[in-house]
Amino acid sequence: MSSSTKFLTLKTCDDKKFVLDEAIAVRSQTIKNMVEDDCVSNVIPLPNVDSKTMTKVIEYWKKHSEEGISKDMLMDFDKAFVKVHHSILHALILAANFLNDKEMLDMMCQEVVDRIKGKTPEEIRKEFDIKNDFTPEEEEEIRKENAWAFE
Amino acid sequence: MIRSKKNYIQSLPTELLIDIVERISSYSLKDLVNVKLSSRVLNQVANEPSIYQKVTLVDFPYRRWSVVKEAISFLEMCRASRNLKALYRKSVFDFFNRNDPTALGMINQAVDGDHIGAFYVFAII
Repeated sequence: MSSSTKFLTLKTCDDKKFVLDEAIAVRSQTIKNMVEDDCVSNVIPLPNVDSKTMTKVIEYWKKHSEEGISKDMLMDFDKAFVKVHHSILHALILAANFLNDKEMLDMMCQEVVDRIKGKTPEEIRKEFDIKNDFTPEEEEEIRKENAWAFE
Repeated sequence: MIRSKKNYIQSLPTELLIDIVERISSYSLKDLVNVKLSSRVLNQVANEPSIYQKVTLVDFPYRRWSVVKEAISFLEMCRASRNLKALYRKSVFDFFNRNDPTALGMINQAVDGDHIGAFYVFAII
């Protein structure tokens, strides 16, 4: 177990390099597979992730790999971690999906769900800067079709 | 026609959007409808069969639904997508109220899907 620490170098799409303990980097199933298949030479390219997003991902990985960290502390960390603009949330979801980190992906998707909970269509659009692309007629039709759900 | 650019959340891969909307549908029917009304992309996602399969019927307005044809067709979609709660309700109703033996098939489907209530009913009859 106590073999010397191995480090991996990850390169994001904007050519920034991150040197990371392998034990932490393998939280990504994608990276883990690469390591296990021995197809890691020196630098692992991450063509779908930019450095800003990767910094956040690594912050999450490191916190969740800390020894002896309490559940409460992790919960507080997670709570603060997901409080980001929806554009960053979007980037983190894509990164977690590409890196195949199920735990992180699950948490980020749940955050989207939580932001939708109990909101009106108008409020949902505002939350995510979504443009209402229905014609008034279409919107009215969907409203009518589903009016029973609100009775 | 104005070109509508997909924004961040809506440009997520469809399977992730489906996952998100499934979670919403599994706790609230009203929230699901509000999602449908937000935009075309979300409306499309919310009409996926897997959403009908997962949708909760806890807050379904059963007292009124029998007269609203949209509500009936919604339940039909749920059953077609093998929504266990919908199959269970319909089969129990048909079996006990209409003595309809074909309802057994539906109960069977709900049993196969591990619906706990369906197990009981199946054991009794």
